[in-house]
Amino acid sequence: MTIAKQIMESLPDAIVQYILSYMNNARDVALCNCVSKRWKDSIPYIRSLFFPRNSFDNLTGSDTPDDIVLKMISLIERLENLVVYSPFSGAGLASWLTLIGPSLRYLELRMDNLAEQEVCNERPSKLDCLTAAKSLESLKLWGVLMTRSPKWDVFQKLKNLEIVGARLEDPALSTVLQACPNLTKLLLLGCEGVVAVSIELPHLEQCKLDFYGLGNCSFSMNCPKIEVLEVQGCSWIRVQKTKHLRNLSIANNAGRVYMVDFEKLVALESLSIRGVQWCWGAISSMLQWASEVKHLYMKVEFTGDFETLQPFPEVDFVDFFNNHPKLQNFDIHGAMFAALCQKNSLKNVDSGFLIPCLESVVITVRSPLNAEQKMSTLESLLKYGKNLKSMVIKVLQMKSNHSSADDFFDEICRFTCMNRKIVRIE
Amino acid sequence: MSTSTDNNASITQESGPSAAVQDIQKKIVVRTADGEVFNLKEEVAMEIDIIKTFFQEDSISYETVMPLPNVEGWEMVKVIEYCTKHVELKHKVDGYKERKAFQALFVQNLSTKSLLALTNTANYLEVKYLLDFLCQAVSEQIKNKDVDYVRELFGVENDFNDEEYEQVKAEAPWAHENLNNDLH
Repeated sequence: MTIAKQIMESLPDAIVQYILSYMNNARDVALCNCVSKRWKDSIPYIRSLFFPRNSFDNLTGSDTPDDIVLKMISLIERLENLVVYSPFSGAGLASWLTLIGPSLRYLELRMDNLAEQEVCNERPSKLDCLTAAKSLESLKLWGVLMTRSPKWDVFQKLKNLEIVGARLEDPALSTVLQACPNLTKLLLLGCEGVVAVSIELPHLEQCKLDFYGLGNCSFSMNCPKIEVLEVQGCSWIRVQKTKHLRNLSIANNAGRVYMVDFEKLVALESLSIRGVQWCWGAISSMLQWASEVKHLYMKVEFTGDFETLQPFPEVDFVDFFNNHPKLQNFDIHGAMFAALCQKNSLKNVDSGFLIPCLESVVITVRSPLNAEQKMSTLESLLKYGKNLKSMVIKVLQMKSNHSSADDFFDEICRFTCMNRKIVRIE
Repeated sequence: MSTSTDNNASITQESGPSAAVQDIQKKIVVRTADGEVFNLKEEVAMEIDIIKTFFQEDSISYETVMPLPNVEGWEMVKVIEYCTKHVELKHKVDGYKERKAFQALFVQNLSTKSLLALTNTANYLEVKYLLDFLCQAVSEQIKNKDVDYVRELFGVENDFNDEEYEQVKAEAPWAHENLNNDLH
């Protein structure tokens, strides 16, 4: 008897089962089923099954993919996690959930509906079938056509919902959210078709929304426990009950952000604002509410209340840092940085002025305009930021072919050399 | 059966806080099947439930050398290594990357046979998190292999007769098609 065999034999059944319970790839499980009688007896204790996308690409037998998944599921006593990336039908899904509905805790499916228009009429619809998984704690769906409200009972235990790549209609989304009253985490990424969404989930702590389209969605939220919020693609945002909000990110790649309403943001530690165009009122409100913030990322290209893109008004350097005294990490881009580098900002600086907490700064420079003021601002950051440990200057393609661009770049290099310990260029 | 070889066989904990603190910490002494004696720091020893039960719950004096007849010396070294790291990372706020790097190194030079032996030992010594980690590491070795390879790797005998084997194979025929046999 080989030593490996001796050891394997002396492993208690429970340990063999435990080892096998870490298997989840369906093919591996199917093969382990054939290794020996003892291994076969341990298979029912597996908790998870995963079917990769190409599982059934080269089928030769008479079983359909739906059947195969059903047979594999039947081998397991109490399946808790099922992930299916390979194609399947609504009838197949219904048959699986009849078996595992009661025990299933985690379900992830590649629905793959988006390209096919006729799927809408599939009976039973895959979405409707999902309601049979009554004990679900986490649900993740890829590629969903959700233009009709699914017929869902309430998912009492569902804490985590992720939908990636979807075509939605507002009423359908609303139905979905109403069926998940106990969510603590919600992700809607790459979703098209949303016009207005209102989220009122009493336990929601983390929310990430990414809406495709014209960037003109309206978003309102009333979730008293919300801690982390990321929103992309909305132009009108109202969030109530922000007592616990720590991390906030608002971006809009396509449209203009013109209204934000957050009440106060007393717990906010990290703020990121990005987009092509934000109304100035919205920006200044955000900065005002985020007075306690430690990490600030700003990359907005233009301002302006209407269609016309406007440059930013002046922002007083001293006021800005006095209003954000806890700022530790600061990342600011192009046009917004230019706004901070205005002539009169540093004229009469109070002798007691300090930027006490600032540890790292990342500045992206795009144009050599107002080079002198920009250099002065960079120098001031070093001068007043006594605890500054790192300054990174990113120089993107300068928008001018003048020698002024080269001169400016030289200035920056000189500045970097003089402050080598702290400053570096990327 | 237990030959006391205290001279160059005892292994003391080197890593940790300053020497002064180290001295103050009590030591627990165990002896493995091959007669090696190990001095463990109390906080590391208490990670090993079987040791913890022996000394704490049964109130045995720390001067007693606890025998571990089912554990080989090399296994004890590995267990101490893992538990010491675990205790160290308990106090760190963001030790995720460090833990992952450590885990990768820990199993790097272990043969499947050694891995299985260590799994057995972790189970016997009752160190749950080590057992979890080792079981997962073992399962990684089974991924994407064919049946014969797995049998050989783990020293498992095929106790199906031909008919029985065809039957189990037929439960999932698709799995046996188009396998890419990566025997590494």
